[in-house]
Amino acid sequence: MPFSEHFRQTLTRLRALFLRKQLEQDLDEELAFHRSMRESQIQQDDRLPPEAAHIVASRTIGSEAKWKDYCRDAWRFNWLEEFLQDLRYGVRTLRKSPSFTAVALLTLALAVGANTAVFSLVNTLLLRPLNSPESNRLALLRLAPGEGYSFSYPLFRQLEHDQQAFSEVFAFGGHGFHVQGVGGVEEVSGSMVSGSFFAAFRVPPEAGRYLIPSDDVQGGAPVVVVSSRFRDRFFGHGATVVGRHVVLDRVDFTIVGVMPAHFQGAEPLSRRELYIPLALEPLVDAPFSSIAGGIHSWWMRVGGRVRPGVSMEAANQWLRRGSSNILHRVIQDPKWTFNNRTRDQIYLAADAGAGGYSYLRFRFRRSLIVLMGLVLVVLLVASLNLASLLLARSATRERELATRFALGASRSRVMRQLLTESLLLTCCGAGLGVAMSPALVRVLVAYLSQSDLTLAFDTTPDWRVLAFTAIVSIVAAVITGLTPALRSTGRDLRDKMRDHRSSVNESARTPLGLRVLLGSEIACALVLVTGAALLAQSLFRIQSAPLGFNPVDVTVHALSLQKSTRTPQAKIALYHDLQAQLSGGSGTKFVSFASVLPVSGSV
Amino acid sequence: MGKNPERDKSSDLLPGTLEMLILKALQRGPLHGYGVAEWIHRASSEALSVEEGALYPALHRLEVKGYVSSEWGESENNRRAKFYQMTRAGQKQLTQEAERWERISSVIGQVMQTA
Repeated sequence: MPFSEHFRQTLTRLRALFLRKQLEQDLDEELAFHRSMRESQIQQDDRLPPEAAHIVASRTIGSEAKWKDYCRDAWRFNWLEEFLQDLRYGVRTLRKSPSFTAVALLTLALAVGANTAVFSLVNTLLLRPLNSPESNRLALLRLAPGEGYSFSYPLFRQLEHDQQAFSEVFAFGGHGFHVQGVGGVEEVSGSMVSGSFFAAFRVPPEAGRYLIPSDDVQGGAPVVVVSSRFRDRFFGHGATVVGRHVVLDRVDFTIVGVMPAHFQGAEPLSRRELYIPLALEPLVDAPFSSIAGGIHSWWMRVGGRVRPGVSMEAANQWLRRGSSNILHRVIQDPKWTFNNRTRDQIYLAADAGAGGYSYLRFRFRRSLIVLMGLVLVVLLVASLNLASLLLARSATRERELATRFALGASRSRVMRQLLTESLLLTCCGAGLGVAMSPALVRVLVAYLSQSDLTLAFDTTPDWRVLAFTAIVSIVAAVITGLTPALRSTGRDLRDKMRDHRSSVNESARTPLGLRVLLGSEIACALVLVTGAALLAQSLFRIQSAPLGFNPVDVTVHALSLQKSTRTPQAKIALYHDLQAQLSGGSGTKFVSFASVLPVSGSV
Repeated sequence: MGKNPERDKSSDLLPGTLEMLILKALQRGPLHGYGVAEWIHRASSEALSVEEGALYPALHRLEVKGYVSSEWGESENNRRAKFYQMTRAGQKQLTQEAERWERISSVIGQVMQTA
């Protein structure tokens, strides 16, 4: 059918949708006219009295309701109206069995909720690109082979000087700044970045300017770029701060620019508020200096933006060719090793860096993928479970379905109705699941970030999360609905109805589809139970492993003198003082100091 | 059509031919549904009688497709009746259908006459 005709018919039907009453009246009147014409003709031809003619005409015309229905069909969007009809019927059926509906909805809500929550994290941590134009041209550099993303200052400077494959190469290293605020000193997460860092991300500053290569020189003026969040918090919302001063780690810095809230830098999961030039590291790390550590101090990550027209492979090839030269210039000691490899056994490589850098990604990638797999299996089990529930239920509905078949419903029509019912169920369940997923996400994020407030998990759902949830829900709907629909409308049932045979013999022979359904459900459940048992056992082992000491009645207090201006001797004196004072208190047996607490790391 | 097994099988039509016959009936001018049925009955020398259960749905389908238009008017016995009139699209459709029918029936005839 040509499109224009299709369109015209749709319009006609749309109009008919609003003129339904008129249409019905016309249909009645048309039939009445036809009937009277037929009757008068029968009277004439067969010379019958009017009453007899009426009976004869009724017989020839047949079921009025049926042919009126056929006429209505011509004007209808059949599928739409049937769908709405099925939907209404489905709502009624589900409301009749509230306990079944509640169990089904809860099962689906949990499964879909868990899937949406885990996928939101997968999306944030592994999929979502940085908020930067042409982020697909961003690269993350490492020392191959292996996952050595750390760089030292001389290596980065040599690379920055020699490379040709990138329009910008930049380095960044995290730093916790002690900011002198009105109410005292506060630690704020920031970054030390090289001169081309901002240029590479192509995000213009909200006010002032960003850092440029001429800022990134040793002994340069102390300048800082702040985030709009930092400005709002320390200077008041929307304040003009360019040119004003801020004291960071006891050094007076001049603010030269403000970056907008959507700027993520190179670390989308870390909330960096302050950016100072890389070369000023000795100022804020005083009295130490990572730059002075030279080739032995690996404290930064390196990224780049591939030149237009240069592919990531070409950039990699260039890096590989140039590696030897750069490494030999930087590392003079032939005995130097990195991960047990000499300077001749390693080379520079570039990975796609559209997602930016986050240590969380390396730490949690595998666990997240495993978790994603697990919740998908949970979804599968939930769907299969629901399918068998529906199947059990359809056995009790045999009479209803048989009646529908007896009244002339086609198999596809009844199937559509059953599928609409399961679709209704899954849609409501999925809706509930989506509604509760933010709470699940919060729990997961709290676990991942372990109360590290400098982390910025933006898990607001984007199109990827929505598409994923939609697909998951549709898959659940199909798994849930199809088997019961196929089974309960199958030839079996219809034959049974037709032959009035006892169903005892029939049900003894379980059909293949059902066996597959039950088999796969048990298989999935077994995998989950095994996985859960293993997980529980390792957790139990960690919990019950002896610490090697008795932690009862031990209290811990943290103290940092790192930024203190005291001389080392004065600091030691302070520690002794503290020890003496604390020991003197009643109820204190021992006082001791440690730089790192036993078992304070992650388990 | 042919849903009632007691009916004479000769009234069964090939699928799609009913719509063509209706258009043919309307070629001379507007008719109501009963008139269409009567015309087909007479034109086929009383061999074809169109069931109401098939005729009216077909008329309505033709109307939705835009091959006929309808109008309420006065019938020969002064009753209100719905008259159907062929549109230009309907005329075109009839020509096409007639050609197709011609071709098929001649081919089938040829096959059936082969010894």
